[in-house]
Amino acid sequence: MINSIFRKKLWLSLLMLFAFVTVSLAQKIDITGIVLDSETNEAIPGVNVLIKGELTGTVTNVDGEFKINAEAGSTLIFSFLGYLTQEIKVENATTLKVVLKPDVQQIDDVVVVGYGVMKKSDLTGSVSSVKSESFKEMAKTGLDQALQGRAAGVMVTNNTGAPGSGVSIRIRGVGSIARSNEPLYIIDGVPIDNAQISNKQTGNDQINTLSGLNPDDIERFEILKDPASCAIYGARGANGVVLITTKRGSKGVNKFEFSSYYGVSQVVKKLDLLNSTQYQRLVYEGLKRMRVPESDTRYITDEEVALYNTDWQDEIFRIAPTYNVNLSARGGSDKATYYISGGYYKSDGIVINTGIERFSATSNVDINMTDKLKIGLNLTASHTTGLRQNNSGMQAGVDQNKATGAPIIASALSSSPVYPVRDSIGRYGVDLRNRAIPNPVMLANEQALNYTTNRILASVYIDYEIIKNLTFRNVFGSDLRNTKESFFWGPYYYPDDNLLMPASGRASDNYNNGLSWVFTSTLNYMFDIGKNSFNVLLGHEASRMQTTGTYVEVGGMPIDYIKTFDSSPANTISTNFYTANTLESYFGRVNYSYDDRYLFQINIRRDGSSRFGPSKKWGFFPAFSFGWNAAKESFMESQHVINELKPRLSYGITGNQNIGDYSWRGSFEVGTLPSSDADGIVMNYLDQLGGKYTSISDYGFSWEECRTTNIGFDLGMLENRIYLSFDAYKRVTNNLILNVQLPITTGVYSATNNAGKLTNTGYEFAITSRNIVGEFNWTTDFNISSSKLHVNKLVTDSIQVGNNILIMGQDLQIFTYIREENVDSMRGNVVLRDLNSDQKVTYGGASADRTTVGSPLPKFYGGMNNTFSYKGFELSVFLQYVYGNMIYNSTRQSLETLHIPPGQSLIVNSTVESFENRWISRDVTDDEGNVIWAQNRHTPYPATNFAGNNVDQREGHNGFVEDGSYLRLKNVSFGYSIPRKYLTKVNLTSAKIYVSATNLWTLTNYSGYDPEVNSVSGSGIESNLGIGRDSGSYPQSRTITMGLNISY
Amino acid sequence: MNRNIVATISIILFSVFILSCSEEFLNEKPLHQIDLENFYTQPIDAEIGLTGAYSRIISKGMMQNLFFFSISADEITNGTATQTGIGSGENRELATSALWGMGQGYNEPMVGIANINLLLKKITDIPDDKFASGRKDEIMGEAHFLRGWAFYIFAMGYRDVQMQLEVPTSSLPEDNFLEKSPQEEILAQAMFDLSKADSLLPVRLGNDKSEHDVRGRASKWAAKAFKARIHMWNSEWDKAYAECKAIVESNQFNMAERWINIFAGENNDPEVIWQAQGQSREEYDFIGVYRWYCDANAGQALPPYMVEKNLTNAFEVPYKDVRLEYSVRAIGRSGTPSNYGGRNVKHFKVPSGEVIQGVSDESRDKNTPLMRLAEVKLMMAEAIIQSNYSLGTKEEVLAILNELRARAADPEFRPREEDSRYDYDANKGCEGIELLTVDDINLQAVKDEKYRELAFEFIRWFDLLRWSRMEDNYESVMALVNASSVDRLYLPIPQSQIEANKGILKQNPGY
Repeated sequence: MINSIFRKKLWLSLLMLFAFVTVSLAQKIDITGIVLDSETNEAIPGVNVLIKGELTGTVTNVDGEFKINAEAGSTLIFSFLGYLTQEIKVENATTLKVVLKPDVQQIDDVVVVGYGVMKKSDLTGSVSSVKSESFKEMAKTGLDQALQGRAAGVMVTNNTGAPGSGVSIRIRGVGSIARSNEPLYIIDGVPIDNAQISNKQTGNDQINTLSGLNPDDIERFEILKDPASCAIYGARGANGVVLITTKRGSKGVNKFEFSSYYGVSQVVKKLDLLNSTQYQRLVYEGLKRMRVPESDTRYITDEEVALYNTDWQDEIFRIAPTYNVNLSARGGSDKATYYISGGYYKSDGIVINTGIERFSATSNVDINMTDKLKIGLNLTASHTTGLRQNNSGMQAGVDQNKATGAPIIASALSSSPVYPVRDSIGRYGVDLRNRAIPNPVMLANEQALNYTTNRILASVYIDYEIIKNLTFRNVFGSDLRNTKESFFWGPYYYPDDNLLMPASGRASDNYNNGLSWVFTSTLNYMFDIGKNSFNVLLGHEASRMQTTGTYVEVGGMPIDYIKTFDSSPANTISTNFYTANTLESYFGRVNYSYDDRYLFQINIRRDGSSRFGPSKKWGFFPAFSFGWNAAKESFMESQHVINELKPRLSYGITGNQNIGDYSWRGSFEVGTLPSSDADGIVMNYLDQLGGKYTSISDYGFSWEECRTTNIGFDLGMLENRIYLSFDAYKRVTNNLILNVQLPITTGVYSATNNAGKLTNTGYEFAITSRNIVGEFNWTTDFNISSSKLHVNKLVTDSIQVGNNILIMGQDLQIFTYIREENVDSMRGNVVLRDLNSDQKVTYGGASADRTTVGSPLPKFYGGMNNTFSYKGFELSVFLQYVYGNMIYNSTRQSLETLHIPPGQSLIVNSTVESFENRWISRDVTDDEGNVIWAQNRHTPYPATNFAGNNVDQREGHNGFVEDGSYLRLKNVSFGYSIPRKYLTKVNLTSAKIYVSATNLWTLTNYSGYDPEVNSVSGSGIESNLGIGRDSGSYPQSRTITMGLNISY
Repeated sequence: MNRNIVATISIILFSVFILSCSEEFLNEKPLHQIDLENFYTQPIDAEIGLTGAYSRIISKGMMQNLFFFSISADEITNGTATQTGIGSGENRELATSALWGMGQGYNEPMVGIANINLLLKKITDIPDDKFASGRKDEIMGEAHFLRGWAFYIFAMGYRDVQMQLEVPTSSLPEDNFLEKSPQEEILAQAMFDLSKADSLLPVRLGNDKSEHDVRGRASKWAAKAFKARIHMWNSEWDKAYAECKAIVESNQFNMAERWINIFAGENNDPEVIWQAQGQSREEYDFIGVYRWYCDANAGQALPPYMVEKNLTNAFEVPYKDVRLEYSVRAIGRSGTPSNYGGRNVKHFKVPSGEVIQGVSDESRDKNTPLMRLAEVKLMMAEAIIQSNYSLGTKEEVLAILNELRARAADPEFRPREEDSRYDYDANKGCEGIELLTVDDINLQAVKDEKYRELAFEFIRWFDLLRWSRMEDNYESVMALVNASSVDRLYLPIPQSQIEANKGILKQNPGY
């Protein structure tokens, strides 16, 4: 199959290799000169000097001087990044002084769009660009983190603060309930697999495979948001598209760049928990309420309090170093250009025994075979290793002091301060009163969850210019990823004497390998007929993505230092899987503009996917857009304020094919059914293996389809000193794929099918303002976005996921009980309100006594960046904000009940806030009659009570729902570029040193570690709807780095 | 070369290659699961599908239905505990709940029926010559039998019920909503399926088949026996008689010498025409009637389900009728008849002191007979009488009844060790009961003998319904389940299915 495609394409490509080389000979003269900056009057090194119509050229040296041999009367083109290109006709003068003007015209930026580039002025869709300059000095692990707050309409959430952990990106909010909302990532034209792999033993925490790519290799991001831009990606375009362009070489001097930073991170905030004296009192009061006699050994003695006061947060958090070094070289000649780089990144996590390390190498080479034929190769290889800790949820350990994958943060928060990390002879301390909560340091040290990802991204392309402006392009790209994750926990201990409990360790290996390839062919023709300009694109693409995996888990490991599976007695779980999908597409785009004033674009794409049934295999995704360059109209000529005004309108259909492979195909299962099946009964009879079908073949199973209308405008004023864009959109998702109950007469209990509809509306606004221009420069970028979800059709009236509920006709809401403001003044208990007035509070999932108390989705969010520069100094201040979302603080729910937590028989530590303000029935005095604890009957915090007989207290309620809004100084960096005159002596062209701080300051009312939190991640319904929950998450860190960028 | 020619050629080539991917490219097949698109290509596929259908038709849910009918009838009644969703009398109304209980009784057989529909549709695609000789017909025959039997039980239990015969092609709920079909249509379909099975199945399964297969699988004879039951329901006495006679004359089945052998003997007694095979069903001890009857709430002082006095009163006591002594465990101090009531069932339980190969006392391996020769003969007896002796004579009826009565004596009967009333070491034996004479023969005598012979074997309730229907007098049967109307003699459809068939499937009347 692959062969047949290749054969056809390969010989065609080879045909293109037949080149036509033209050679011209003429009379030449030597021309010399200097290139200067119009504003600073300094010489500019590295400017490209090209003879128009020829391939020959040169580059200015460090003093801005050049020398070129050209025909008399020819035209020289001077171009340099960040400056306006200038053409100078050479008459007789042999010495030139060329002054280049900085390019302030953002409008003439070239923007990368699907399968090509466009001038920004010709754009009719909504595309945000983020360039590497804006994020290169910020400490970050993955390239997706670089986007946070930078682009309107793009919401980036680091699910946890662990290095290399999952990141959720939502472009224009949520468009799907049960299916992935992650955008499509394309690196240099090749779609990549952004699998987020979770560990089978530890649950939700995920590895972000994108963290294996080096952000330093990235030149720019383009985020395609509206249908006009996304429809060219058809069935994968519904969640938006992130186009990533890596750095490439350019003709001219070879340039080496060295960049490096070193930083330290620490936890932004610690929770204020009880010390051992307070904890002693907590236990005392709790047991008293249970009427436990004071002789009971569960009471904590004064001797113990004097001896131990462990702050477990201090024990598991640390100051962690981050180190990044990147070396690259780029340059080229007429024949070839290149960019090669090598990077090393190592970042320790702020929790002990966590961290990530990455080696990466990239090589991008472009070769001009002839003046018509160009070929190139992009190759990136990376090796990433990571150390993680299991940290899902707030359930502390179970019934023994063991490292059975208990979540580390939860253990640290709930552990008693009254026992040591290690005892006098070096053994791990054990809380004998509360064996269920493991020693957090032991957890961190004795369980190892580490992974390795090896990844190779490779693509080759051939460009052939058939006739002028008619280009044929073939790209073949592949993404090969091997991930292995191993988990080991040693055999655990008898708590009383630290003896090994025999054969209780467990270990697992999880292999997850992805292989995808894409073969794209496009034909692009640009031509003008009078004032009519056309740009026509035709293309075909075939791609295949395959994932395989093996999981093996063994148990009963006897010894903690032998970690191989061989040491386990037989107790094995093993599974593997193989899944693949293919996509074939035909697409086309016509851009038509009349007199640069009226811009039209039509996109069409026809996608065929293996994921759908025979009658729905092919989907058609058209889009239409229109833009009007109003500023170019004659009536606008008389004014000089507005130099760019472009209203835009687009409408289009995109699809979401992020559903499981083979979804339409019925399946048949033999033998034992998975327990998820409603009648999980062995299907054998009479000693024979039996089977039944577990899903129906549905030929009509279809795509989720988004119909989006986008309206917006771009406005440039005062020669683009102020440039702003506004977009408003309405996105209607039809055929929402949901799990639906089926009549049992079908033979199955439920099926996945197109059963819902939702609407997502929103706006986004971005402004770039060059406030002060001159020697002192001040630039401000600001963006704000909002999106709102509205469910029009569902299979049921509502879908409830965790604390959240999606009700037909409404936005996503947090759904919980409402408590009385203060506890019962007589008894000290939390009292829930009987909302449905049936004289009792009904507990459980869909209780009518629960209600909605706000949305976990923000009302708006965005970022603001201010850059100040003066001579060589540059200060960049980047603020990022989210407003109007609620967070369900499940961590507090676990800690603050001053109570035995739901379903558990153990005492947990608590917050000082809830302890100090707890309900106290009457003054407590010491022997001398001094009041130690004053009566406190009017308080929201309940009494300490381990009796556990008040259910109201255990149920979650609105007291744990907090405002998640925040304003964050995401990054501040201050740098100094050493003037060129000093650098030339050491042969450097530029050198910059900087200090940068990430997450330096956050303004929020949120009481947890960090308002940027999402304990539920992934791509299913749980993660899409379960957002806004903080359940003992790994906190974000504050990082201060010092860096150096040198080029020569 | 002229540039325009190159351009033209290139564009043409481009157009050609743009059509390059074959349709096969988008036909990615799963390797990690059996794909329904590609299943049913080999005989083994059909065997697997058939076995799967068995496991759903003879399932926990179906056994529970049958057990429920025993509670409904005057055989057993709720004791100290009630299983979720199971109850008679007032408790019968509990069955409306979507709780585990009745839902499974509806769902599992429906899944089985759906899988049979698929099997019957797909098996035709497998070439005949791939099968061992005759096996294709056998598989189809077995499948038809199972579907027919399940429809028969549904018609008896629910009266009007959903009848699915199609394989679904859409996973949209609205494409799959199914309304009820009338009871007559369901019985007609059951009759059709059983007749198909009758014609497709051989006299005896091949020699490679074990006794487990012979009794545990569908057979021509089992199909005939259930056809006879439906004929009896329809008062088609001659047809019922003819089917039964064919079974008796087939010489495939013999009456057991000792009554207990049917349940505890070789585990596949020649008297058994069809039985649910407990062997190799790990979950069987949770689904089998043995558990339901004997100790659904193990550890409790009293068993959850009590034998009704009406039943014990129908026997002669003490130690006269082995059918009572083996079936009912009396805990009282004396062997007076009243002490037999209110006790639990030990039917299907291997008696203490009996050593049966491979079957332990409380083994999960116990089989549950669903049709045996005694019932066939009793149907013949009734058909003769109901036909006003046009089908046979009183002597024939007498012979049938006396054959069963003679077997009530068993000198080898020994009481259970834990039964403190008995001196275990003394071999008590069962004395037996008196034989009847021609003068004793009437319809009531047949009914009474059937009550005794087939107690706890899932026919009593259907018979009571049938006799009430014939007389158009439902009072006594309504009294058994405290039914407020005739409608309440039939089960409600699980609420979850009413909801799953939005607006299309209506709840049975009376609920």
